[in-house]
Amino acid sequence: MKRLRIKAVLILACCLIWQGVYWTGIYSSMIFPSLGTIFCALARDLVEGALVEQFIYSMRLVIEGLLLSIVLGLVIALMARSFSVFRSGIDLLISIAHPLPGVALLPLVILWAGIGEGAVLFIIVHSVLWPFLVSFFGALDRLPQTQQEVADNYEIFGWRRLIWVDLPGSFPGFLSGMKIGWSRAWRALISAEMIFGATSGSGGIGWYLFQKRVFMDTAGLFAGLVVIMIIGILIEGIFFRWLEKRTVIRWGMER
Amino acid sequence: MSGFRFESVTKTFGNEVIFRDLFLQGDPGSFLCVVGKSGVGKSTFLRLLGGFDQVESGRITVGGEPVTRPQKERPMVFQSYEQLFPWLPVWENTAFPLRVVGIDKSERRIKAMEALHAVGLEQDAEKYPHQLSGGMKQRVALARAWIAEPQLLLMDEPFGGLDMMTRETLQDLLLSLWREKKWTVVFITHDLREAARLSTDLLILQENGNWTLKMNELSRPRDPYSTELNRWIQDIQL
Repeated sequence: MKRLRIKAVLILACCLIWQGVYWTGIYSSMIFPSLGTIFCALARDLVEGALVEQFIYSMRLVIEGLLLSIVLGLVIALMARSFSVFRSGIDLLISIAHPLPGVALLPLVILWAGIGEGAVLFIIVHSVLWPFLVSFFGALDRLPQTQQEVADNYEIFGWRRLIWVDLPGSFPGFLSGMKIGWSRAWRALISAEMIFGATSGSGGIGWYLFQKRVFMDTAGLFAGLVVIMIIGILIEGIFFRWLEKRTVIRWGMER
Repeated sequence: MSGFRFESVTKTFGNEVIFRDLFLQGDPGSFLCVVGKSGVGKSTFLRLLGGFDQVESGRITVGGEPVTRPQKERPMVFQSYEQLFPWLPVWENTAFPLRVVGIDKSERRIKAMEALHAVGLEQDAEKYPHQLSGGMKQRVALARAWIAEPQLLLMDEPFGGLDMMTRETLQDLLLSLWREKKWTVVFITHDLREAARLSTDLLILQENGNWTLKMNELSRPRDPYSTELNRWIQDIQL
């Protein structure tokens, strides 16, 4: 509660500084709008639905991309645990693909897959899958030996071993992989939307920002940024926090 | 409940002989304690009997059947607290052997509460392992082994990390369960007083693959600090 109060005070201070700079008139209000104007733009686009629509579009894409990556990640991890050759191949692929920024692949993706939603999903999956696998593999490799021996002792093998012992045992790594994956996916999505949106008009928050810049609606631009920040806080501070409380914190497994 | 036999068992690690030509007969209902200096192969002995490691020559049988792999009829209680699953509440940890064989939740719960009652933890059934003390965790591990209805109960220094008071309480608990359930127990320890208190037989493992077997006919209940028990301990050559 105390930390919450400190945060509130800090945010208020930032707002005051912002408004102070605006009042000095150093910058033109065309590029440095007042808090009031930003708030009005935010309210207008929320009520008129433009921002809400783009928000829903972006969230749907990022959730689809995340789920797809997690399913793929689970299948790959399962295969890698069963076949050591497959594991070596995947390790090699991770070391090649992991450092490659998703945006760098955009021109190639446009060439191969066009500019539809499939291309955006491809970029998201690329951004999420590799860091997720690194984190998840790490946790699977570090499963405590005693736990594995207990599982051997009680003769639990195959998919039940995976679901009852290996997955919950590696859940901290799974979760931190998901968190890294989420932030990567969100960044990748916004960049991809800016580029794809500009060429195809398919929309999303990135496209919304891009349009605001083109039409010199600086207050609207800031409204878009505020929404992006709020989504970040909601997902990290509320959704993941909730998930952690129900799992790794309750189990005493957080690192 | 079954006996076990080591028939001419030899085990080496590289050039080092852990035991050579070991013959041993454990009767049903016996309580064998294994002692020896650290690194002499106490854990190896137990891991062979559990089926976690394989012998080089000779054979090990439990109830007449050769041991080839770990089985739930031979549950092992480890020293490490990591033997409990942190994501399961105490009662589900206890009932884990039943879950594996497909017994439904309500019946698992009843059995688990019975076992937890036996080790004095029925109040803590809903807690998670990280909320328990070391001694309580080992009680849960014991309850879990109990639920597996062991032919042979294997214990690898289970009380090694506990303070003296807790350790003696758990020894008493183990003894009463052993008498009540007529288990056959193999128990590793580096504490001679613990071995003297618990065992019916004592296996002393020595360097270079040598070993000695000693009976323990001290009268029960055994006071851990009696002169009789002290004298018995002094006779042991590690």
